[in-house]
Amino acid sequence: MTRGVMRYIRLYGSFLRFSFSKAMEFRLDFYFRVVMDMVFYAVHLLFFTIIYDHTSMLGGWTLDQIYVFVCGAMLVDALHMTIFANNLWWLPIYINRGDLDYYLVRPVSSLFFLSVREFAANSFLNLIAASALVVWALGRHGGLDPVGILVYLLFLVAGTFIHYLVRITFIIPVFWLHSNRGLDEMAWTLHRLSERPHQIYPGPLRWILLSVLPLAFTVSYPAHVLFGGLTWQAVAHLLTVVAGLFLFVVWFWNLALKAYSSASS
Amino acid sequence: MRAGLFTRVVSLEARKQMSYRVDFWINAVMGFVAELTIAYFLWAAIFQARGADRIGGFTFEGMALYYVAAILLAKLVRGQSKDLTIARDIYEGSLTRYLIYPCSYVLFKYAEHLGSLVPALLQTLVFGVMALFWMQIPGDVQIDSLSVAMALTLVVVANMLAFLLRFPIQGVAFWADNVWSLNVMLRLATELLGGLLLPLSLFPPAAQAFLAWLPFPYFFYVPVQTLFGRVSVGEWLAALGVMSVWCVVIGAIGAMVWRRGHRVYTGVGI
Amino acid sequence: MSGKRGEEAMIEVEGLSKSFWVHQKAPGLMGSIRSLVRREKIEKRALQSISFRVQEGEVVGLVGANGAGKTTLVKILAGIVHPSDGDARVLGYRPWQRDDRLRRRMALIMGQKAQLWWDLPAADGFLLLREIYQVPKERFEESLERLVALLGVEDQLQVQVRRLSLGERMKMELIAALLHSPKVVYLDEPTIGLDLGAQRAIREFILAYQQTDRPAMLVTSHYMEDIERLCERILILRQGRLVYDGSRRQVTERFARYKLIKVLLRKPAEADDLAYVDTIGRRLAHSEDQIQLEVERNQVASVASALMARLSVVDLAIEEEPLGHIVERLQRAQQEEENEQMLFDVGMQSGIS
Repeated sequence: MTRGVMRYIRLYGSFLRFSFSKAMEFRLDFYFRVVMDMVFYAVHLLFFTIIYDHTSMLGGWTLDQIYVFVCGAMLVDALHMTIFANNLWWLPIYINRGDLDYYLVRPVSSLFFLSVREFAANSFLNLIAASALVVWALGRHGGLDPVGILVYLLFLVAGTFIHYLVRITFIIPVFWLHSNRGLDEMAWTLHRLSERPHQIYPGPLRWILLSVLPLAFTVSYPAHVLFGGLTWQAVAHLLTVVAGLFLFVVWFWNLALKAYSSASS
Repeated sequence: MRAGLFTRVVSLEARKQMSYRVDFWINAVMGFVAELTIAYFLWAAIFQARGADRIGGFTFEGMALYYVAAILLAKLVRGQSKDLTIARDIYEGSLTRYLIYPCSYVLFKYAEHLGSLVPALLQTLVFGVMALFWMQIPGDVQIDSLSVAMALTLVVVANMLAFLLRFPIQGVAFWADNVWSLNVMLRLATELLGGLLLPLSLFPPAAQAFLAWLPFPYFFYVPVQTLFGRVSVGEWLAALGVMSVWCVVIGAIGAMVWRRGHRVYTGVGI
Repeated sequence: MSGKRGEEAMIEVEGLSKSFWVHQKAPGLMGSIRSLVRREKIEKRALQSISFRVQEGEVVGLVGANGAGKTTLVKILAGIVHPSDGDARVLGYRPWQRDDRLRRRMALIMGQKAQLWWDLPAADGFLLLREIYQVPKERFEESLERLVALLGVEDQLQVQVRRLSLGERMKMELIAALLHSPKVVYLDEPTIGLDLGAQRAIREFILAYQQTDRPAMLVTSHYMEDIERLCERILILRQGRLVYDGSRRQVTERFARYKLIKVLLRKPAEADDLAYVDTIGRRLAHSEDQIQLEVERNQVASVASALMARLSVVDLAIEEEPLGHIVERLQRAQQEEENEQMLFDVGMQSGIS
């Protein structure tokens, strides 16, 4: 077991080295990405700042709390961009070109390999910037319990994983449909639901976001736990959702591979 | 470029766009509904927390109507805004074809751009009519034929401005391998500063006064306010004036980027 | 169709040069990070001071190894790439200024790069081109009919270009490029990747067009057969320099060191016969009843008579060394210095034929 895990960690290490030297080849792109994410952060912070000019509460959160939420969302986005986004972008292309064969013959999990193979070193600076923003927001809020903060960060990491799982769920149908244009847009549109506090949504929609389409767990729920206090139920809820979604994705992936290998000659 | 070529390119592109399959339309509906849902519940929460009946000059119904109009007009103004055809022409080398043909690349692309607007036009029409039927139109919103005509004029000019902006932005592809991030950047900035995320009347007055000199408000906010009958003819003319100046400025920058870029263009694989 | 051969050159090139800047990165992770801040650039010279002229009705072959600068030269003359130095006039215009009057009378065909619109049937693309080039309707229909018939692609006109085979697509590209009856035509690898039948069809087509419209043509190709069939005159490029400009035949006369002797035998050659043959020449190929030998030019007579004496020869043919062999040899790096100087001198002397 540990040897297996170590093997994957070493493999990931070599992905990292490779992507760093690749990223530096495209210098302008690197700078553009840094600036783009700064703009992204500014737009989100300004959006809520302006809204709080006209109200002091939103979904039961103060401005200080919403900053913690927004910066958390940026951290999740940066983590996702660095670890998964590039791979998810390529995945439908690989599937349609039939390039998957190369990865299926390798003695490692194809889902793992294809999901994390390309570490986006050019988003790495943004990961640092987003982390700094989280620290700033937490400091600005003040008076938070260190354990609570630690749990918040762990929940955000889980949130990144959920974000990835939801996205890949929308990509896997490409195995059958051969086009991801519509699905991908849909995934992005749905993702926008998670950029606002989940408390603002009415009962049924909120229930969906907390269960079958657990987008609330990417950032909003972690922040909710941070401000509302950690309960065992919350941890159980999160673990159930992560495990359920993960098992679903693995099952869905294997189903798709079966379709892929029986379709190709 | 003759009218014959122009219309032929427009119609070819329109036919291509309309041939997309069902998922394209399902997606358009989904996107519209989702965006509206998010805005609706956000403002429901704000109006509830605030307990006021007007925020930034909008009643709750007015606010909802603002988002419907802004989302729909944005489709017309931005077209396929994720489209990077110009950048792709550059780094895939298909620009070569237009360098050889005796016609203007800009006009060719503009014709394609107009053709690609046809689905957006249909969506706007369908959703817009549906919205007018179902939604309450508050008393302070006056949509009449004059306001529609004035708003559409602004939309046409804003659309041209959005098109011209592609040249300086995507022209960077002459030097960089990837301008996708620049495009996203512009898109994000336009959404906030143009009034798609929030009506600009919510911004602090100083910020509003400053923004009025930039091209952004004229993409979404000003056309919607014009549609709602809240912009006088004088203000409308001023808006057209500012937009025209920006068209010239952005066009000039685009031309410069293009001239310099062409000097380094190799048509891929020399 | 358009009169006698004019004395005025349609393409004039004078001292044309082009350099590129290429970035270099130190290897390894540290090198990568350092390169974010500072990068080394090196200059790569693609073309160095090229001069030549092409007359109306002339088909000139542009020959050279990969990276010799053929495509760069064509792209400059088509107005896609700006030169770094020197001047060029095509029909009196500087191509990179892209005057519509020039572009209406010019065509570029690239075998490796599709120009037709992929999503459209070729017929639609042609109509679009008619608008672009403002070809009068009657003349358009007339030349379309002629070109389509010449290449025999009537049945494929309504098929989306992306669904055509490579050969069919290339034929469509040719038609697309010639619909407006250009006076200057650049063909960059027009037959690359095609089967022999399609190659031949395209060559015949190009020759037919050359007969009727008498354009100035510049052809690059990896297939020496294209050059041999199409071009009377060739330009040889080597590492960005023009090392030969003259008639194709003269290349053979001046630079061929060998001749080919083909022998047809009554009965298969014995092993010791073959061993003997190998002592007097370089055997290129042999089969049941045929032997091909490469022999130094001054020994042709003695080798031929030796072969006649030793083997039971039915027929014997002596041929020039193929152009491809010569050009390839001229490109080879070992003989660099001497050859370059010698060729350059000869090229200057023979000048424009």
